[in-house]
Amino acid sequence: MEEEEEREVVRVRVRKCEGILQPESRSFAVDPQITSLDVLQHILTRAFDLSGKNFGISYLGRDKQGHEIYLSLMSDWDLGTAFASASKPYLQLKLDIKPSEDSPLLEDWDIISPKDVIGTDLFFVDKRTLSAALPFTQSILSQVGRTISRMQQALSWTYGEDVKPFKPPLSDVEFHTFLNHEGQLSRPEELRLRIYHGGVEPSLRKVVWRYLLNVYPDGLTGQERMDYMKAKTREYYQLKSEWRERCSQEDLEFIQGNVMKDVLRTDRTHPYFSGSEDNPHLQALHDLLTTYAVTHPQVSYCQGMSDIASPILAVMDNEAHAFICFCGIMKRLEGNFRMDGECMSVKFAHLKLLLRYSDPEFNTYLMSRGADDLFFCYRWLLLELKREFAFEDALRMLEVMWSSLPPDPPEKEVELLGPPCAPGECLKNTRRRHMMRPDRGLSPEGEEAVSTNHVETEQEQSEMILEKTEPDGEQESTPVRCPMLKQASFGEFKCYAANDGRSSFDSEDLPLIPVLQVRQSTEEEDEERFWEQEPLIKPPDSLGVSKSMSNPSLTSCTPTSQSPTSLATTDPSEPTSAAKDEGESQLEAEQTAASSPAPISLPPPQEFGRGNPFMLFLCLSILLEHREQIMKQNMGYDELAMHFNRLVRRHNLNRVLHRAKALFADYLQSRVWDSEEGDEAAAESPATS
Amino acid sequence: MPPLVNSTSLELNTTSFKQRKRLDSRIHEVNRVKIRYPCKIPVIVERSHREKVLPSLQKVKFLVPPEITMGQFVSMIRCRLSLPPSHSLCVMINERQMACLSMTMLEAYTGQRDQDGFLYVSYRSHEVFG
Repeated sequence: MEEEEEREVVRVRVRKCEGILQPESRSFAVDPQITSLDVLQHILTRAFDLSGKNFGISYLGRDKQGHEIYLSLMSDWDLGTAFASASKPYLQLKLDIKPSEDSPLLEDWDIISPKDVIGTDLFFVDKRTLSAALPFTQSILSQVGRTISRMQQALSWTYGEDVKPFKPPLSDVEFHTFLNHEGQLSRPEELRLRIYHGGVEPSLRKVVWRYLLNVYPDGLTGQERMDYMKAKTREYYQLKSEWRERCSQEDLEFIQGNVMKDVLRTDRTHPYFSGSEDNPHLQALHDLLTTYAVTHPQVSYCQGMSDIASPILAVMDNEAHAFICFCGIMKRLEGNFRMDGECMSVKFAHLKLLLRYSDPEFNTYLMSRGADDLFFCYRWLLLELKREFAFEDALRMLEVMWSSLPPDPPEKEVELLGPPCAPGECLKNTRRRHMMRPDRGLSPEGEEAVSTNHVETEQEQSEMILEKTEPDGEQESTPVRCPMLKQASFGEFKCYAANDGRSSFDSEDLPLIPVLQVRQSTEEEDEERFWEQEPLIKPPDSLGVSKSMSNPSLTSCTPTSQSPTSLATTDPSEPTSAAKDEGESQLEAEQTAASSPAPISLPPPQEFGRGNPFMLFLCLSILLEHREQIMKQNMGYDELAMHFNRLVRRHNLNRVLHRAKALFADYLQSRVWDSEEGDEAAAESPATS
Repeated sequence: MPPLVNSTSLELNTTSFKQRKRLDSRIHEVNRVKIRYPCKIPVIVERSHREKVLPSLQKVKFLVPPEITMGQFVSMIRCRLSLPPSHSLCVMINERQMACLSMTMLEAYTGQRDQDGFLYVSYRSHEVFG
């Protein structure tokens, strides 16, 4: 550990000798882990303004007799030796500027190193061409302002200008151009813009993701960043050692049990997490999630968090660093996992709005199938689409999506410790959460029911009553009665296949019971509630009824709650007819209830999708990718859900990204949110009501 | 002799590398670059003279690691040209032989190199199957 820490930074002093000119000196620090000879040359070129000049590098080492001697530095291997043997207390380098007579020789050569070929899957990049293309990029970027809205303008504008679909991923060398000589990130917005257009090279993710996840406060120098990470790492291990002080034994075991269940089935096909259950990375994931749950009692642990944390851990390959980044991202995402589900319902409302706005025809189709609640998108919104793509694709998608958000660096430092629970609430909260995901956001009664139900929940909590007859009590008891359903994560069919042996979800004529179970697993607790109660058509609480009568957007309640019934009673081979009838009646209701045919407008980007508008456009692109197929095959509600569940980890990233970027650009350019209707649309959502 | 370093795409369109440089200067160039990069293969990549759709490359002279395959090299060319995946690209060696994509660059070089020491590769849109 000690040794590793020392090697995180190497101080470098450089002397430049050029003919008879006075030697110049510079000193800086580099991270030996990520500094290759290419990078070093690049740094030196910038430090001494040597562009176009030819120079040789040598370092002060010792020969066999122990005399100090300058050894030439020709390869990455030499550099490794130099770091290992001659970097204490600092690495002394000498630059010899060569006469520039033969430098033009190489300028018109495109030199390809094996590293350019391997490692990148789609876009093979030569660093030389990249740095040559850089001035162009920068000239575009230089026109970009500093404010959020102007950055978003640029996102759309450069996209329109740029004929190429994507740029190559951000490389090491290019990344260094975003840092100034002290290692401070000088142009955070532009860095994000660059990543938005091409992603990051896999080897560089470790470094760049920390910026994207808003781990570093503004303006840290290279050395300060390392000290910062070290301090934070110490803080993490301190927190980790305090589990027991922060949490009762009972609660801790409860959290750990839930965490472990999910950790054991999160991305296990990926090499990083594969193998037997004593893979140390699984333990690391478990520990960091448990630490998070213990230190953030208001959020605690919730199913799905493991999916957020696993790519970060796999990239950081360091438990503490991953935890710090996880805290960074959870600052934005914790709302997704909160009990009230308010955040999720806003996202649902916005996604519906967006679909209605951009593809009314498809929206009408979904309405006619009773699927306009878009419940099958639940996992997309909760995990920000992480599970919809193969692991490597998901990494790229995540970094592109994160870079579409404006930088939000912490003022002083990332908080690793969440606010404490109100006294007495802690235990109940953890208990009551159980394995449940935030539920209200997707209740068939619609978003408006959220607030009322939430009040009920709180009342119940204060009274400490867990009555099974009440609607909320019903929910609490569900996991007890059918734990298998509760623990099945949304859309993860393998659980079912393992539990009941009916794994024929891919076949066309599904047996009846699996169909129903699929619905339950995807539709969450409220759906299950219908199964517990006899009168299937009647919404469980009268509040929901009155609400749904009064508000046009709630009409989806009836068909969704009925469709399981009709399915259960009709032949599975013709499930659409029943759904169709209801869809029509529902459509009529929708039409009569619709107050005005006024054009829809979208909320402004800082509110859209709860501050992550691009994710909504990714969702929309996925929907549109499958639009034709869905409409052609005339898929009903269940088929839709199953269709998308089959596509887990299989979506085509390039196509989706491409489309999403185009749609996003259109949205930003159209500035629909500038109008007053935009504000109204935003006000419709329950968050503001 | 015109400056070759910053030759514009226009110039490249009209004349090929071989036409622009005499044999002895080409040999000299190969020798010089081989001293500097003994482990790389000098390759000239040019647009086929009949090609009208595809753009020209910014740099025609490549130094390629010998162990990569022709397929990897072709995808690198695609990347340089920023071709969308839907666009076909056909790569020929010496303007007449289809490149075998599983061959390594070293194999291609030993078998097909020109007398000046370069390997000549040209590319164009796929006309046959398109």
